[in-house]
Amino acid sequence: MKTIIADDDKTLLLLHSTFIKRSGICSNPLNCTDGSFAIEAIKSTITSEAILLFLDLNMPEINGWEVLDFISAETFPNPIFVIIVTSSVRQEDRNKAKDYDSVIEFVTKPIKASFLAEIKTRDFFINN
Amino acid sequence: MLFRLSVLKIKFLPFLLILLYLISFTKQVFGQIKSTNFALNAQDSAWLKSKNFTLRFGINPYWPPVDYLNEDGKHAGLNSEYIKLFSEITGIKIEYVVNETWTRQLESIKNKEIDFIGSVNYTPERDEYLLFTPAYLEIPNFFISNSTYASKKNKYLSTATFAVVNNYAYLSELKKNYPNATFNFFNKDISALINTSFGISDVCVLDMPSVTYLINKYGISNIVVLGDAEFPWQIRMAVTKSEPQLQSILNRFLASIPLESKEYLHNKYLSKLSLEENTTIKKILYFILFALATTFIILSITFIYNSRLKTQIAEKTKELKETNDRYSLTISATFDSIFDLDLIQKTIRFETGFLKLFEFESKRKSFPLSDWKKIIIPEDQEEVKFRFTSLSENQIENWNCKFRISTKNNSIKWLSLNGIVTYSEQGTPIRIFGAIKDISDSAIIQQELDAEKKNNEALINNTSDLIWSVSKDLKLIASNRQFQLAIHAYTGSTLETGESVEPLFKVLPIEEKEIWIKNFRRAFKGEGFKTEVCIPAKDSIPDQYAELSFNPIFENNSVQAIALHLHDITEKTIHLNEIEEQNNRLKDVTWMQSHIVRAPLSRLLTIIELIKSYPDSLREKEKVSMLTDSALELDKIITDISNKAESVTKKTLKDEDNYS
Repeated sequence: MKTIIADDDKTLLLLHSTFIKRSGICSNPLNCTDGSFAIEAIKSTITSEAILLFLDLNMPEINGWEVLDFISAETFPNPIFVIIVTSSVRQEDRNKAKDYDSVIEFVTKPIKASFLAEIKTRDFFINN
Repeated sequence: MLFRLSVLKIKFLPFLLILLYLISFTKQVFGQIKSTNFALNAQDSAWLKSKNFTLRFGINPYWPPVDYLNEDGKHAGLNSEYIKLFSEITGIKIEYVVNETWTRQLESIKNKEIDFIGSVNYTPERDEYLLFTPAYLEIPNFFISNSTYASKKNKYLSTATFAVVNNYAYLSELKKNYPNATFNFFNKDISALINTSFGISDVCVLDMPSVTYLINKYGISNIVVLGDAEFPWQIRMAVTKSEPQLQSILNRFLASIPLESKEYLHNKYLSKLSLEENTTIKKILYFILFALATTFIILSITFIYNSRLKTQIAEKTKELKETNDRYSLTISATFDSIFDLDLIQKTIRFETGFLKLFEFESKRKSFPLSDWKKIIIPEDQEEVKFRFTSLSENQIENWNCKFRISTKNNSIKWLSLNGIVTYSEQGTPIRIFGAIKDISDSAIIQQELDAEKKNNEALINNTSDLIWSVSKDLKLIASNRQFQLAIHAYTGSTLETGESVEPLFKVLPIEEKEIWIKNFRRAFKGEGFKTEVCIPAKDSIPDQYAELSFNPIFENNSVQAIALHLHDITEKTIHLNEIEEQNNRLKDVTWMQSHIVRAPLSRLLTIIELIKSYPDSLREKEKVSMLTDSALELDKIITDISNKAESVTKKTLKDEDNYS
């Protein structure tokens, strides 16, 4: 599955990329350091293959919410599954994330190997 | 209209009847027997010449009303009319020969002592010596009896005793029909009738006109009609057998008389039997009747006129009574009495309701003003005096005065006097005429209302809230003191009751003005609601926040006014705003905790999680470097947050100090 990681924290971006590779979700995830980069990455990967996006919310310029708005506003031939990975512990953010159909999980950092292993067992991952 | 006509008809009915009667009466009096197309021929004239144009006519004096002598001894009755006309038309002079009885009459013509007779029936015996004209009149005969005989059970004419007149035509018929009857003979009808009336004879035979005439004339009372004799008189004229020319003349004469003339004569003599033929008496009677009729007409007209006058008087009296009743009722319903105050004589007069007003009886209606003043309670004396004094000074036309009196029962009454003042030419008040009313009840109610009003005013003024009400046309109905103070503070002027509140909208910004108008429209549709309004800052007055309630006032299911209650919530709003601001600051802190503080912390935890899950994924040097950077970043952030929190606390304390 095509995997994109969007986070402005470069250290975390590296760590998450390592996690995703090691967990076997994707051997070559695309790392994006801000929202605009993530949108460009989604636009340029319009194929029939599904996209799994690990999205941080608090990013400069274009934040995670704006990326989600973009996904909601556009129609894509391939399904896009978003896992929000954020340092926010606010319930407000968690509730807001439920308004987006593309969001399948809301995870508070740190991301864990057990979580990624569980993701791999889900239907959307297996079927795509 | 129809009603009026019918009334007129009824009123003038007597007059119309009299008029109709006079017309018929006049016709009877002045009508006459006529002859048409009759003329003497040459033979007639030759024959008459031989008679010297003079003929002798035999009068039967006892057969009224057909043939008889009146009280003047002149020929009268139905036959006389024919004979007179005959004489007038032909110019023949008639010599009248009176025969005392019917037997004598027949003997007279038989002996040619007379030339012709009237009122004669044909009989075979008479036919031997007489020539008859056709019958010109038919009169039925009746069996007449007395009441004694008439009441008998077994009465048979065949065995009765008949009173009959000698040589009457019916004799042969009676004897033929009743051979066993007994006959008493008389020379006149009256003799036969009286004999029957006395019961000497059982029955007599008479025609009805004769019976009626004789009964009326002689006052015979016990006469009873048994029935039709079936032998009517067929009256003809007859001449001696030796004079056929005279028969011819009489035949043509009678034939020339028109039917209406015959009917006229028949009606005159046989239907109106009470009329005398005597001309003088008749004239007197006519005159009396005419006079009576005229008098009656005058009396009727007078009566009708009087009736109309009486009706009009009755109607006017009724109208006056009704008006008077209405006036009295109106006075009694509206006022308690009417007064007439004479300022010259210094008296006051009361027309009605004295007892009700002053609670004591008095036969007098007029009182000196000094007595009147005594019952006015001392507290009101000055007011009354002032009211009287003001009359001269102000030339008041409509005068009124309210004061209290002490009644005989020591109760206090409020009186209201309203009157019209009359002034002399010099302008001196001389009289006040008007009505007086006990207004104690309404005065007490008014006092209670005044007290209630004061209470209400105290209540609505004893609040810092603004309370006012406006009418449908947006005019101020009532307001409390706070409202007036606020209006003055905001606009610099006052708003009096009855003035429009619309100028207040003009000082508002357009958006606020539209909100106010929209709210008024809602309320006038019947909706009661609360809303918050902001009154923008003006001059030294800062923004004001208020809770405003609109309360529709209904009357007959329709909103007539709006009561408004404005409660100042400026302080509350400021506090709420401050709390909200503080909340926002707290939100910022939360956000900072979530995103800023937890960023290096999350990184640290992720490194730890990665080391735990995949120990070989990072080199030692990388691990140390990442952990050090993250720890230092976290330290810096925590230091910054501490500094910010310290500044927020200081600010809050400062605000609280300012507020307190």
